[in-house]
Amino acid sequence: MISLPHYLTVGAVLFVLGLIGFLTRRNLIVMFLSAELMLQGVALNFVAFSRAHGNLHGQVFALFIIAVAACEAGIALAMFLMLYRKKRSLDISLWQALRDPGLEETRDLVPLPAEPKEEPLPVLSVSGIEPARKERDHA
Amino acid sequence: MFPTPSFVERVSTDLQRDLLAFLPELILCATIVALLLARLVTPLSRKHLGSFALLASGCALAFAICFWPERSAPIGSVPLSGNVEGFSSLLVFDTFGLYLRVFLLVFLCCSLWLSLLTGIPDAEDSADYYTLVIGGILGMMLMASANHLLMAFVAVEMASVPSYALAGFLKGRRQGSEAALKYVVYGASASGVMLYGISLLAGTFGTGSMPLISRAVAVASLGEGPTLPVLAGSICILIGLGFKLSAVPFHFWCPDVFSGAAAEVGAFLSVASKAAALALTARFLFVFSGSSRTGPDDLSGSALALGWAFMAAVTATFGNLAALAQTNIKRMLAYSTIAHAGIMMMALVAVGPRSVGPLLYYISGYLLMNLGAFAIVALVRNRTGSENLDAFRGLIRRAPLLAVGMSIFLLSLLGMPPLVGFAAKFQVFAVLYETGRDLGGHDGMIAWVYFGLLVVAALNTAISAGYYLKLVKVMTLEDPADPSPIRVSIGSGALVSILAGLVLAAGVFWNPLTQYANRASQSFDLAPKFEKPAKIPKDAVRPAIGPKGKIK
Amino acid sequence: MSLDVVLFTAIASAIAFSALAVVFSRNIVRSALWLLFTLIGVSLLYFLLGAEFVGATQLIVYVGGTMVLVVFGVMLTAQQQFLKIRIRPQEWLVAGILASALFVLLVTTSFHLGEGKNSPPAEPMPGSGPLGVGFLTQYLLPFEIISVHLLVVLIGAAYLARAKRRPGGNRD
Repeated sequence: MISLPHYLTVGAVLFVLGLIGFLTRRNLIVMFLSAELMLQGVALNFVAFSRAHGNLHGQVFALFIIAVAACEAGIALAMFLMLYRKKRSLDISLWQALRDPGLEETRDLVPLPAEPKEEPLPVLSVSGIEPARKERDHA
Repeated sequence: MFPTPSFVERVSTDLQRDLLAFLPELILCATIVALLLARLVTPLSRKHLGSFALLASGCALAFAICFWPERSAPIGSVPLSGNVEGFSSLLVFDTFGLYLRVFLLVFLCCSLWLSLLTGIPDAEDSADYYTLVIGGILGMMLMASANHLLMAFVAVEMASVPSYALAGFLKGRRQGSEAALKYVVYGASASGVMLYGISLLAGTFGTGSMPLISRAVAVASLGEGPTLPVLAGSICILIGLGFKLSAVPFHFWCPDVFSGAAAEVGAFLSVASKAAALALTARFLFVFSGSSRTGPDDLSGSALALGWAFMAAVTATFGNLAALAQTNIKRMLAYSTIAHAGIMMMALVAVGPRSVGPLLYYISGYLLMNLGAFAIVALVRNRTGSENLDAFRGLIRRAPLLAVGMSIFLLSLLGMPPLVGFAAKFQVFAVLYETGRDLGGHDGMIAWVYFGLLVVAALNTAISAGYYLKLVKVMTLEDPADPSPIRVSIGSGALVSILAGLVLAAGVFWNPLTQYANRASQSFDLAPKFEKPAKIPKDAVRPAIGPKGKIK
Repeated sequence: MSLDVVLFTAIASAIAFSALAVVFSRNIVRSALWLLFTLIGVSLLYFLLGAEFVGATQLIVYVGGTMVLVVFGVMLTAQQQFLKIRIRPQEWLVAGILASALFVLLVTTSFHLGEGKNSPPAEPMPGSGPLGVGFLTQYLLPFEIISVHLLVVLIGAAYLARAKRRPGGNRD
């Protein structure tokens, strides 16, 4: 028979996985997705409790969690866009300017592999005969 | 399923009464909407809306003062002499909450005035800035009067999410963005942990109402003590609150956020946010301690209290030691905030009417001195473009008023006698001493915890002299690199003089403010609400210096 | 084995698997997509618990709204190779032990909570009717105040995301 502890266990799984992801990943968006996982775990807890106690308090909590998570998502994504515009990356290790005096920047033990260069778009060479004016008009 | 007409009638009568008591908050809500709509009207769309926001918050403040129970005729017929639960007991309008409401609105007005003087939101961004500030303060006011776990959670979110945006308000600066990033990332996880704690607590007792939970905890403490879920839930909630309070080891965001964000925002985070977090912590600790004990008014003997005492001591010490090495003034003030949070947490170890009064006094004094210090940092930054120690070198020659004001604020933060900081620290120390003395008869070991805290607090004051006096010395005794005088506008001079004057006045004449604070703390005396006595047998409500190692 | 058990086991393992995939996937778009499956799984559990309204809200608001926002965010920003913290095996070990300790603690707590109420009450959960009445009576204040919060957050997000019209407008 499936009872309260089973649901709570699923909630705990989601919460702990979210926490792990939050602490180990360093892409801002993945960290944020992990935080959403944590909130999902909590919301599941609340609904399970609502079932166990046979009242609606837990469901109300869950609905408010959904609303608040939407708020956090909005502000966090707006902020990530702003950050991305500044550094063209979402790696948190690029944001270490603020730290105590005397504290060194944390660096990777193994440097990250260089980004594979995108193949450059083919460009026509500038030399050559200039095309006639008529051809340029309908380009 | 559908409510009967009599039910609807009762609900709407209650609602009218509650909305009247909720008037200051409603004014703030209306201000937010008005600020938004103002951008649509052409003549207003380019105006700086600071004066309007200031006017509206002044209105809210006036109404909030009207509700202070000492006033003979509160508006309407709201009986505010005791604890009145409003909005189907989601909020509680008690003296504690009302005091903090006035306090937060005073801070809001001061902070809006400061923003008008320093011009941190320019005319274009002013509506956004003031919306965020007022929205944050609204959340903090709800935090201070939350009476239900759902309300506590919603209020914490309402207070923190605007703060994330405020930390990154200076979009042009990379440091501001970094501050916002760190704040939002840590803040989101802290609120997740706190929410998990709330789910355990609410799930165990099947209700979110804090008085009911408090009573259930009290009953449980007479039996086998707290169960594992209650303990885990309380710890999770305290972790979340510890993050808001920047208690060690959850403090790491604080210096970075303060040094990256504008000084005006720093003042907002260090005064208002801390005050609201302390208020909510006081309410939570009171719940966890179970409200039925009548022994020495504290959590003494519980493992949670010991942990809390240890965290407070470490927080104060760490903050002061780390501040010694700082060269950025905002960073130094951030560590000083951590240290002061530690001292204020010490007052909460003995949560009860006796210690909440000094705590409220401390918070009020902290508003004056810390807001003053941040204001001067902002003013100096506007003129010199720097927030480092060097900008303050020889400030006495360049801007005597600012230097004298800053010295007063710093000496008060240190706790020098004629200033408010001394009065505040003295009262907290006195509570620690008295509680320890009273407990000495019952339980010698617990008494030593209080005496130990007292020693730690005294040592911390000595350590903090190192950096506060260093800054004073740099300002007064050293020669400025650039001796050109700094022009101080009349408004800025007035703000600094008023704050400095209040710091001095409140330090010399303790009594009025102390009386208000003590009166406000009485709600922690009344808090065991046994007007519905059916649930608990009479003998369940008996004093207990309970079995050690258990939460009562 | 009743249908209840089968359904729960299937949904719970799907949730656990997709949550693992969210955290450990190397591709950010895939992470977001796995989160979508987790959210749908959780909403199915809500239906299984009898909380139809919460389940439907989860599907509409979360899956339909928030996730679309997230996917937009991902598409706007994810243009580079996906980064992952490089840590030594010992650190993995410590992190793994800490995480499993926390997990065991939480599960112990959960089973502690379940004691004494092993069988869910016979009467059905309050449906959307009582929930609606609750929102308009007992929970009126948070229900209304959260709209102010949404407004403030909306303004904050719009401020952060929009470009400054005049560069260097802020005095600093």
